[in-house]
Amino acid sequence: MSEAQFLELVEQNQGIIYKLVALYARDAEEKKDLYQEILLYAWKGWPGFRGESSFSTWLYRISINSIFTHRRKRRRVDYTGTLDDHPAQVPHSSVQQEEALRLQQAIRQLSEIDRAVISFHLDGFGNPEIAEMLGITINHVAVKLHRCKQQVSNLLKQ
Amino acid sequence: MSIEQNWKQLDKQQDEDLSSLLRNFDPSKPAFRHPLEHIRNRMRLGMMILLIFLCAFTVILVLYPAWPLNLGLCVMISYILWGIFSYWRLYDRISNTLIAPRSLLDEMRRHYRTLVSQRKMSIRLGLILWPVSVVTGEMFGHLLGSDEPLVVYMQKTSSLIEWAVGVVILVPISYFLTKSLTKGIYQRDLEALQRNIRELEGVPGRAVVTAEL
Repeated sequence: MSEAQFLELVEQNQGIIYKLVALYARDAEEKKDLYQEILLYAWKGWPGFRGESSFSTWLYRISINSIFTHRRKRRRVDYTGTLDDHPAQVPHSSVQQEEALRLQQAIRQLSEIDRAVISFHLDGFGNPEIAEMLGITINHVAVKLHRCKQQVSNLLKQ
Repeated sequence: MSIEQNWKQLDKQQDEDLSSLLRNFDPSKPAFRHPLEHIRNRMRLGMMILLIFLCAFTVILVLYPAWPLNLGLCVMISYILWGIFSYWRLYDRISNTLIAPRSLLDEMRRHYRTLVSQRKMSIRLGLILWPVSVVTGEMFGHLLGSDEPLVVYMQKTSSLIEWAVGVVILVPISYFLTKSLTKGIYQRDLEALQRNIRELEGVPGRAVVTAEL
């Protein structure tokens, strides 16, 4: 499969990467680093992509593994507030968009693992898929998800 | 609006900074170093240093046939060969690419086990390598700088005390020095990994890493 094909698929699914890097990056610089890192590792892993799962699921896995690996390399004091001075541009900013950004900020205040769990869930993955991607039991996913939802909902009420 | 609907709104976000990175993506550009790749590089360097030691000791062994020195050198050479073999085995097992089918927990366990193995290996090597090198070096120095036969020199009580003190002091120093140096290098990584592994396992206390590399 060619480079052009790879880039096309990434472009179609780049919302996945945007959302994940926005949940984990501490600043604009790290956001770019994470994005680049994910692209490079996805490209390295691309020859091994057999199409057994959808490209988006594969990209999710690559992204989350890259993020956890990369963040260890430059661990600093974690910053869970608003992202940076160059936020993602939301077209036609509206009440809904503001609520979406508030949700993003609330999720950023969860633990690193919980951020992954809830973002997988919100993107439509079932508990068995989340369990497989993270390497934990389905029951553990259910427990974590329940707790995450409660935390997010409390944070949104504040 | 529900949380799910709000999340969907984020799909519409545009980020010019990130889009430009994709447009200008160049796969030939050197990648950011994977932490395991750093370890591989460190191990490669370690193996090269050990090989240099090995060559030097072999040359001395051949050129200076004095049995006390040769005995010390044989111990050193065996230890170095064991060190190179252990390094090579771990080096070979480390894959520096992210393999998609691996789960996050397995990936972190793999990193954790590799770091712990490399740290232990460095401590074990440091424990014997440097003290024995010093004692063997002293013998070699005597052989070169004095007319007195090495066997006679070795039988002197003062020489034996010198070596004993050297080993007794140097072994713990080497051990604690290597331990503290490797702690400085790996501690932060190990703690971060342990925290995440523990959270994923859902078990309080220390992470239990049992999976194979």
